[in-house]
Amino acid sequence: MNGESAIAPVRRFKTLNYNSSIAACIEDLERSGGRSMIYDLLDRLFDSMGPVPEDSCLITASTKAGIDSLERSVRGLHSDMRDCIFSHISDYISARFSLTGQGININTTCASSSIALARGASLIELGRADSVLVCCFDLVAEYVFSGFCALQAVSSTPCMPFDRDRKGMNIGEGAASLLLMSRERAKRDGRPPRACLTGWSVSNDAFNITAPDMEGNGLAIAIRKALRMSGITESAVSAIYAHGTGTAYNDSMEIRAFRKVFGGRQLPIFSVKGAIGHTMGAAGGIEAALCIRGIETGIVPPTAGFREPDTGAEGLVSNEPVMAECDYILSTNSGFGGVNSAVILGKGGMH
Amino acid sequence: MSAYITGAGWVTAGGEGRGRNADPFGLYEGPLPGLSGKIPFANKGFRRFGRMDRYCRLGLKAVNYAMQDAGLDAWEEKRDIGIVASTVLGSLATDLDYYHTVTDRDGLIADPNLFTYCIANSFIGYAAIIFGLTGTNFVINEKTGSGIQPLVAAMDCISLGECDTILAGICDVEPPKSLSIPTAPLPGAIFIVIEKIPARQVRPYGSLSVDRDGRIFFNEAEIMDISMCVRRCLGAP
Repeated sequence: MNGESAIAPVRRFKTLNYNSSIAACIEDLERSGGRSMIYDLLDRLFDSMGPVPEDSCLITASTKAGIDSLERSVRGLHSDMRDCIFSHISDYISARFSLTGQGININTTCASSSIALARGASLIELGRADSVLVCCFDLVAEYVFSGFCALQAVSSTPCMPFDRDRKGMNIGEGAASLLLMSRERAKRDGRPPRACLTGWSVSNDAFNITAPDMEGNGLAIAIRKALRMSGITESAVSAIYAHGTGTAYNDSMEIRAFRKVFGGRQLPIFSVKGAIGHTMGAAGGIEAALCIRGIETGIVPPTAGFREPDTGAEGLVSNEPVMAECDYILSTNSGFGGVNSAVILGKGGMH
Repeated sequence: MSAYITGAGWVTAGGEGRGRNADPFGLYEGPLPGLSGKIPFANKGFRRFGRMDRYCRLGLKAVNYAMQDAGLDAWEEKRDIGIVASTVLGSLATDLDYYHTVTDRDGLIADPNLFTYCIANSFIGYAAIIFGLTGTNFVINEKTGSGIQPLVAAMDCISLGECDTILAGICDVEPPKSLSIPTAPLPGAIFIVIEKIPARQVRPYGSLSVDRDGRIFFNEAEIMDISMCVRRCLGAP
């Protein structure tokens, strides 16, 4: 809420030969034996969580899981390659919470988390589950950092989402977990709903494998479908928690898509990427958690790094907290492979 | 809820092709057919195939066969058709190749082209471009590579009105030889086309349904994996 940023010089690996040396790392993440740091990240997340019903379905979202173990293996260091197998991580989480079912992972670049939320909600909507644990996680590793640097997508200074002087993204790491329940199950378990996932959609640009459709057509399709599923019109949306990576292409595309759907409405747009970087497969989950907080508090957080609006973003993005009556918040993500996702969260008592 | 299977395509160690061509089918251990050279995409302007990694070529080739089989390969305007795929290892082999370009000279020659294939949904992205598919699309990592999860997810998408036509399938290349992978799946890619209501002059192979417990049925008989589903489509008991 203070507009601060965790983007800082990377100490985890050498950055000398890259065009950036900063990322949002959790500095004291530890590797135990030859295991990936992903377990320390997950343990920290789970240590602060309440109880999870043992009959919950598990859906994880991650793009690279324990990729640091692959790095160590290539470098001839002691490692466990099972950390790169998603089902191995799912099994670890299942064991942690004594879950009875087998988990799946959603692995669709930057939209992984929001798709995981959508699939979890689908299971509940279709009556196949009444409790679903969605866990989202990804690490900062040289593997990912070098790739985005090689693509010239990374900024050498902390990223500036929707700013006219933005120079690219920064990667970050993080994890989030959300427990989805049917209304009946939440009532039975004595868990007041904090928010309701009212609609979702996934689309593809069918345009380019790494660059978005600059007209925002694919994202606009996803948003409109999510609105339709929610049973609301665009006028009911109070704020947008955008993907907002800080790259020239992504942010322009998003503004165009929002204009297509919302016309000239001046609704607040927020990106968390300036504060914690782009957490890749975890991004949508972390952003959904922030949406829930926004719904509860009626405050849209400041977009760290934002100073002067890009063309089309005037009056929409702020580096100060914005008060808003957040009945419904739209969260969007887009990623490589042309994928776009939109999820809509509403107040817990509304649906 | 039930829907119809209108197309099937595959590239496996048992052969490659599509249902209506009566091509040989089987998901076996063994080397995959050649994945190099040109393939006859309806979108003739697409020339990148030979430069893709194996995982992307494998998935794209199987999707191409399935789209041809369903008579959906030719198009003029983008379509609300989805794809759901599952994979056990995803792009792991390419991840390894890419990371070697990083370690070779401390990142100086990290290969951006190879990095773009280090995603599990690379072939879905290309399939969307080649066939004009704008519908829901995602990749599931399953433990066993049975292909049941993408079938269930595809049926869920149809049930909830997310799309009326969707491809579902599996894709895994051989695991990297240099890495010890404890649970390697059978290599190959298999895709089927599922339609809520077949709208064209293509006779469906049969109906697909899912029950409340996530069990999948082809013509009301339970199937245990996508390979069994295709065998049943092809007339096996």
